[in-house]
Amino acid sequence: MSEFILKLSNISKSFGGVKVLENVSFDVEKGSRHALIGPNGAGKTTLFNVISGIHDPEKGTVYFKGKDLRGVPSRKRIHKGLSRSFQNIRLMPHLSVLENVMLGQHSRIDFVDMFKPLDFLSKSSGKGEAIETLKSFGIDLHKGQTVSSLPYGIRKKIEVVRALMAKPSLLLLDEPAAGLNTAETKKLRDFLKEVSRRGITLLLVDHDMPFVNSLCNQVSVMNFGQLIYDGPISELKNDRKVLEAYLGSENNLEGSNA
Amino acid sequence: MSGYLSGVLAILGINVIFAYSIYITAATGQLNLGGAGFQAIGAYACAILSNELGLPIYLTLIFSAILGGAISFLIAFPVLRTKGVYMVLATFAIAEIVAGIILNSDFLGGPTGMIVNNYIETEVVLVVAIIVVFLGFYIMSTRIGLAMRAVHDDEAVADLMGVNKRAIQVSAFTIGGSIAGLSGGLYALYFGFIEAQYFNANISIFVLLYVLIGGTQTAWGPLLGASFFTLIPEALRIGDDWRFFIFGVIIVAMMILRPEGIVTRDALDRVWSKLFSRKSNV
Ligand SMILES: Nc1ncnc2c1ncn2[C@@H]1O[C@H](COP(=O)(O)OP(=O)(O)OP(=O)(O)O)[C@@H](O)[C@H]1O
Ligand SMILES: [Mg+2]
Repeated sequence: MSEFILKLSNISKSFGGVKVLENVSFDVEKGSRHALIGPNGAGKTTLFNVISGIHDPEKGTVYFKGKDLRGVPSRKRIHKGLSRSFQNIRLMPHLSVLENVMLGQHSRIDFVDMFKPLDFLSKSSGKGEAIETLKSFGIDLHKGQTVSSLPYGIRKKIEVVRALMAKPSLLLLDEPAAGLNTAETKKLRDFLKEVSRRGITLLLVDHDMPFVNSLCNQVSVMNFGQLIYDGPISELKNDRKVLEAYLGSENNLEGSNA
Repeated sequence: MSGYLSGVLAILGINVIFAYSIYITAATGQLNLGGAGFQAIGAYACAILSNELGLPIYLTLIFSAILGGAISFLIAFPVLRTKGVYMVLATFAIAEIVAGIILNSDFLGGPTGMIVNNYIETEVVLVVAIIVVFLGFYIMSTRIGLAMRAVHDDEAVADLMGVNKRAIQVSAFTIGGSIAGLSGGLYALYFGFIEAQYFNANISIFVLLYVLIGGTQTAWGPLLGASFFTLIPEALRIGDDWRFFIFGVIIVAMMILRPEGIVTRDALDRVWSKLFSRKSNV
């Protein structure tokens, strides 16, 4: 039997009386590359916010590694192995690229190491690792720059690297490929496959269907706050409800920008 | 050292220390407009311990810092519940309360002030200032400093990264209060006389301006800001009336020209790469 790292059970959330999530339930298998897709406004980001603890659901339960996350403050969730990136880039504008990435390591740093000057840190205390990861993304050249001056695509990549730095067991990525060109998207896909091979479970939201198709094996589809499909990605295009949801929307399920 | 120069250096030292007290708090994104209150606490603690108990200088200074820190810690919890302009007002109110208590206390000399039975030379002030500057740079260079800056930039994301925002802000406020107390102790010992009227709103406003105009992004900011605003009026040899005017003009100019402060990360990077002709980043 497969093991689930994340179980969402009947999650509901509304804002000012408007239901944004309605009884959403699905499971994410440990080690899988799971996509969460759906038209704009479907509630995907809101669901991420519920999982990461920014919002409390009105109803329903988030189980992470078998434990109910209710009452676990957002700050403590990363310590449990849950980290995420943001759709609307949320990097620290006054920190350099390297500092932003090193901030991602915060949850696994010992108290004593918090008091060591970063500039004199040996490679072993996280700095080397941060630089290496930036290198593997091809953005280490920018490491000393503050992030606000950098192009969108690079900032998007830094978001992913920062989230990875926590060494999570489940990585939530909210539209990591948005704003990347085709070559960059391919590179990101290969990188995330490698991340997945290292045992990190991926749950990712994206509108780029070729990217999602070539990366993920499982997919959950949301529309107007409800789950309309949950299963292997191979059977997605045969599902009537999904086709209806996407009919007339600008998000092409097949995708043509591969 | 001439008396004049030595006097200017002592004031410079005290102002620099005072600026770091406000900077440490500002680095986490909080504005403390009650600096004078914490400075007064340190000054009076130092005066009383010298006068009544005859404690040696270094002990009175340590107690100034401890008392400034302890009181900051106690009020940190209610104060840090407030945000933005409300926090500014809350800290401002605290300084007014401190001044009110001093003015109404016979034991503290009331409005007539207090003579301090001990004194220090300029060198002591400068040594302490160097230690505080070093401490400021040190804190900001660690992961704690990184977490402080992260809280400053985006509290919600810092929280999701596992940063304990509350612990960071309370610690910064407490350390800030203790450094302000220390600067008050030095003031009392250097000038030998303290009065509640000195620790007024102007002082709180100026020190906050030193910090904001110096820039809160790096530990250079308070050093430059405090030096700039202490030395420029001296260099211009202007009187108090003009000082306010010039201050006003410079401040408005600064806010237009360098809204993030004189020293910003990007400016530092540029200077650094010029100095060491580092390979420029693509
Ligand atoms: N904090 C909030 N307050 C009020 N309404 C919100 C809030 N967050 C999200 N919403 C609303 O909830 C709905 C779902 O938004 P959400 O961001 O979750 O959609 P999404 O599926 O991520 O869409 P997209 O693909 O455009 O990112 C939208 O109608 C949005 O306006
Ligand atoms: Mg979204």
